[in-house]
Amino acid sequence: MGQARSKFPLNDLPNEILVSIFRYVGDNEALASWMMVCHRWHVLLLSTSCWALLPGESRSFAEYYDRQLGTFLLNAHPRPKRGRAISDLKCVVVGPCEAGKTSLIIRLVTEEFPLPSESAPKRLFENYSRLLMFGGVPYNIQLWDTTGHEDYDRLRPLSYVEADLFLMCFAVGDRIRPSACQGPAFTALIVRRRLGPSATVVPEVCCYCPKAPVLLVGCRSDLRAGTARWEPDEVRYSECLRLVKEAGLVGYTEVSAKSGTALGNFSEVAIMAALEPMQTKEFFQRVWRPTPDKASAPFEFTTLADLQTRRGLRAPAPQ
Amino acid sequence: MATPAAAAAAPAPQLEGDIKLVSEDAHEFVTPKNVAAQCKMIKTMLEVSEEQEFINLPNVKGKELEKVIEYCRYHVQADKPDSGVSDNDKKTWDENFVKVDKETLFNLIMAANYLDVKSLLDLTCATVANMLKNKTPEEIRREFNIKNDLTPEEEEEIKRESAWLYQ
Repeated sequence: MGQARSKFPLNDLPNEILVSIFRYVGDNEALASWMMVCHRWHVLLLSTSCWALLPGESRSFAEYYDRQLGTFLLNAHPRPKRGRAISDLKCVVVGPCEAGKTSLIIRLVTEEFPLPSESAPKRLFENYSRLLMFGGVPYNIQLWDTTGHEDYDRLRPLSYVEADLFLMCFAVGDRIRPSACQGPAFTALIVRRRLGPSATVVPEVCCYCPKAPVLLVGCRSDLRAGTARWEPDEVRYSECLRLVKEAGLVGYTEVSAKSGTALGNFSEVAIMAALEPMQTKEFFQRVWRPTPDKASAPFEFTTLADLQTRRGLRAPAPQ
Repeated sequence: MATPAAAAAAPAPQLEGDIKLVSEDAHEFVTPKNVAAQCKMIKTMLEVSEEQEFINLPNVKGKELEKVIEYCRYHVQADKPDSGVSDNDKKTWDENFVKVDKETLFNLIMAANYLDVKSLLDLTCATVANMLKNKTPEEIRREFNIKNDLTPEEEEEIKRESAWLYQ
């Protein structure tokens, strides 16, 4: 071989091998700095679960989370909006293409999973409503469907008027699918919400409705493998937590339109998030990182950013 | 220590006898079928047609194929419940096994990936991860001959996103 050629052409390896190498590194700080190596590394590091597990993070977090959420919802008493017998709540469902937005809506409204169609029509101004009871009070949930397609960037905000809640959907199970507006871009997007408006959904919401609460919804949770190990394609709880915290969202909930898992919880969380955003936010902050005085707390959750702040490597967020 | 005769006590009865593996550069390796079946790819081929006498492996060179077979042979022996090889011994053996030059290591990864030997792929990936640890982006670029194709604007943006690292 010529001298110019490296003995170990690392970048000739296929993506999945490079990612599994990253997963063995186990040092989040190093991984973060390697985003500077080249374009490909940047994309891979942003888009895949090669980051080391945070302390205490494991599969059983899902169970812990479900229990906490159940207790929270049991004790929740949202105040209905003033002067209305039936509270109308306008929920706008946003997210990238093929995240499962329409399926989720149809499942919520008709309790059926729509059969997969070859080419789903782009939903622009579809809206549906359903009467749901929560704590003995009826709520009329209006679900506004939008399309994640970038051709409709100009039209989409028309649905945003007077929204009580945004449901930010993405697919939990498969993120490295080739379709352009799938996971990776989305993950990066949310993180960039702080960086001000640009031509995409998240900054859009932030720009048009700065005060509306945004609930992060992990769709297609039936695609989670359910095995003890994290599959490389899965978006992990900790990542969602990081997004929720860094982007100032209200909370995170996972749902599957296909199997119907957690649908009941989902609508209740949505109602709470719309009516009591502060309370919900507070709950999610607490569930993600239990207070240190609770000795029995099974999980200590910290984001990468928090770690950096604590070690004095990072100035507090400039907001 | 690994005689082909000892491998006759294969768990799966259909995997008796030997198979000839032919590498890209026409080296031939006669291996017991149960050793070769550690490679999922070969296993699948054996399941599809049992009568074939040799398998052509056009993507693997002889040197690496020899290493892969050595690895499979050892692990078929050592992973038997009554082999008496402790986990520590296996670990040491694995560590010594991957003490090779970079070129071989790279080809070994490609071979393990092509032949679908999960444990060997994990082992080699972990080795590379160790090589990468504690290196700066520049060091990595230099060592692995990676071209920096980020434009200055993109670099600025990444820096802004992860500003805390460069303070």
